[in-house]
Amino acid sequence: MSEKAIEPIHQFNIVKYFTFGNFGGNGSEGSGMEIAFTNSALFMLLTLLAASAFLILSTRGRGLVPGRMQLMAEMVYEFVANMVRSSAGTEGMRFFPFVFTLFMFILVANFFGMVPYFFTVTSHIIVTAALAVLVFLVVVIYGFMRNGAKFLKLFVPPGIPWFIIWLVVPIEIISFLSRPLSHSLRLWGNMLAGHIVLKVFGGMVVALLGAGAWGVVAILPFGMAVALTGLEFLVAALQAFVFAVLTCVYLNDAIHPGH
Amino acid sequence: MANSSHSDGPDPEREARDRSRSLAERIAGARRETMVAEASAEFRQREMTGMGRAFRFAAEFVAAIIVGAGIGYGIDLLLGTRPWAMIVLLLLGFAAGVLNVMRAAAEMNADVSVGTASSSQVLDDDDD
Amino acid sequence: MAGEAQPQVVVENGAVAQDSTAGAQAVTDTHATTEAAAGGHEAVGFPPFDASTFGSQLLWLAITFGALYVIMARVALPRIGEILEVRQDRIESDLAEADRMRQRTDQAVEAYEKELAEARQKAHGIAEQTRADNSAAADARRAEVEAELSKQVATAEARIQATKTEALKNVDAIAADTAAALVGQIAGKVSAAEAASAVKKVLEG
Repeated sequence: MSEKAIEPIHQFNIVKYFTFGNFGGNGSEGSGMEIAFTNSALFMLLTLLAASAFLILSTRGRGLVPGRMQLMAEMVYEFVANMVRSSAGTEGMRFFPFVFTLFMFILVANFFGMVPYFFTVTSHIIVTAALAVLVFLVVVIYGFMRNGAKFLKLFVPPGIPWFIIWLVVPIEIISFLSRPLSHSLRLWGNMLAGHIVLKVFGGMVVALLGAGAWGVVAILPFGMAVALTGLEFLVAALQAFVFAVLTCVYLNDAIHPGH
Repeated sequence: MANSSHSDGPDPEREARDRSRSLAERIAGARRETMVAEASAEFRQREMTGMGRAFRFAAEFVAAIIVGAGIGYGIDLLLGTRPWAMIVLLLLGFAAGVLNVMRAAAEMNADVSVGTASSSQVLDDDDD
Repeated sequence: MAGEAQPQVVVENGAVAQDSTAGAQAVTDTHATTEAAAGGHEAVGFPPFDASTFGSQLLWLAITFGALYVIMARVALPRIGEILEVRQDRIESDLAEADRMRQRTDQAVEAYEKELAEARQKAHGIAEQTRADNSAAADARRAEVEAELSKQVATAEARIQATKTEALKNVDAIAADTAAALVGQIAGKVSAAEAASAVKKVLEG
């Protein structure tokens, strides 16, 4: 059993708690989608509950002078509001609840992932991809709703001679289509890599401690693990921030396609 | 008696003026304080992207190439032009990747100035 | 929704690949990991690429994210926005009030200073006036006294002059008498008229 080798990956396993059944497909084994309540679903629910509880309970008193928790909730609110306003303008504020929900969901999910033995929802590409595709669809749909065919101007940079346009437009289209991919890859990659590295160093500590005389050397990877944990908290917050900022930047393109 | 009352005269006067001036400063300060705090918090957040910056460039670049190759692959599949569409679109994807990275870099550089600009913008907004 | 549909297609293709359709075979090439994960089921391969879990994850993501969005948009954000707005209004009004008070203080200080300056000016004026008045009175008095003195001096001089003239007049007479007496002693009797004419001659000569 090569358990040691699998260990850094093991934390990303999806564990089914119970199954609702198989949907779609042709009824044969392995076709269709099995819908189950998994550890991923559990932590999504926890994220939902924690984020909602934090924001609703902390502001319950509606204090004119905020307490500590209310102050934190207000700071997050103003932080995201400033972000949306500065990146997507005043009109972008209609997407403020959307961006705020994205930020809050990713932030809380990332922080849950920092707790040992907890599952990191955002370490699965399907989750980050779904969020990125959601943003992409919102941008495209709102862009066409607001600007009509003028939205396509996004692919035609101004001041380009006609003979290069046939080269530039496909490049711009590919660049535009690559957004949801890079958007999701970045969040996923950061969370995945961070957790793997942490697990590797943690595993080294355990392995060295178990190796008798070599146990003293365990202090090195232990120090690294501590430092990396601090760094990972930063990355967890920063990636939620970057995801939200890029959402604002993309939304800005839907609102002002002429750059 | 006359002397002491003379020296007492300008003191409360000056004190009142000083107090009034410091009050004016504090009033102006309180108006700005919240906004400055927010702007600086945002600024600091943006500054910290050191390692994430490299990852972002990589993601932007790789994503464009994958998308280019994927579209090319799809066209080849539909039209049976294997492998030409894929080669062409891979190159276009490469170009798009470079474009993405250039834009991301410009955006990051702009972010620093946006951080300062947005603070003044916020000030303007609240004056309205 | 589109994101949900896509992986489903992938998996179906992966499953159909067993029937070795040319197209589906090609799809399986790129999604080799996916197939491996789907084939091995538990704990083998790379979990994030295990397409069999995508359905549940997407479903629960849609449920939880949607619920969070509704809670944020309907409850949490309007509430925080309201709190901030109320506070902002309150702060604005308080600051405006403070600023108004400050201006009033400034005005009061200014008025006080002005009054003080005026009072000083007035005091200075009064002092100046008094000094001027005093000196004028003294001048007048002095002039009066001087005039009085000069008058007295003048009368005195006049009197002296008169006395002098009188005296001189008397001197002539005494001189003539004296001359007559002298001449009488020396050369006998001399008439008063002769003596007088002689004295006159001497005096004139």
